[in-house]
Amino acid sequence: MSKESPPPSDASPHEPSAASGPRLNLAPAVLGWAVPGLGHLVMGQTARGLILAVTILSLWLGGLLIGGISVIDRKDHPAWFLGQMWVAPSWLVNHYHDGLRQRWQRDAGTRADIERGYEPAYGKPEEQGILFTALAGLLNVLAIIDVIYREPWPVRELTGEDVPVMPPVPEEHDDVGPPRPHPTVNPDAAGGSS
Amino acid sequence: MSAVLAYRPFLEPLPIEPAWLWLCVPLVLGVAVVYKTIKLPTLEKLPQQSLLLATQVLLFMAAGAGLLSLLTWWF
Repeated sequence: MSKESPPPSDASPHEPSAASGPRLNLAPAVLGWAVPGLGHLVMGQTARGLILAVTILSLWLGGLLIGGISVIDRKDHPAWFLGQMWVAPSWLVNHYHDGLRQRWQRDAGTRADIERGYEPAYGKPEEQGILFTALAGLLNVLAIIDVIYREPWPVRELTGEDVPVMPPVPEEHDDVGPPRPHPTVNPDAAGGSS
Repeated sequence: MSAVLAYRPFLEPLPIEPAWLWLCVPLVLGVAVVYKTIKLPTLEKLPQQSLLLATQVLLFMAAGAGLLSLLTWWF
């Protein structure tokens, strides 16, 4: 999807081309919003993506386990929902919670035995559930921003192998640009020590 | 005990009142892991770095709480 394309051979390596600006990985960012860590996974950052997915989803699911679905509520907690909405499934939970509440409010006036379907959280469970889910969303914002600007080279993060290297130093051309110092060790300094 | 047995996941809140303060430990650990996962160039030292950051955050939070407690006790 987002492979790094080699520079055209006829372009001068010393002149920045129009395509040399920061490359924005918008499609992986959307995937990362839909499922935390998925953006990194599709870019080849397998370990990073899996760790982000497990951690962010654990916090988000932990918040839902602590407080129940009532902790995600766009109507009652609009400010907290600004953080929660950065994990896309929060929108589904909010929609489901809203449907249950509307059904209960509609039927409660006509039937005395109607069940709410869920138990709203109050006090510490509500507080902690909201905190966990909102924090998961805000952490996913960091992951989304990271995936937008990350180089799409495959990296084996856990072993340190295949770490992205700098592009090869181009050959010196006398006709293009000023001469640049070669990035190797200075032979005078290296030979002086012996 | 009966409240825990009647618990329906995701539909009812957990009775966490007695131990709610300990929930800051997984919360801080999660923040540290996500931050270090994004920040580190390679993930070789992720466990150590995350644990170090989480410990630092928890210690500073405890120190801040102690300081505020002292202030409220003093004045």
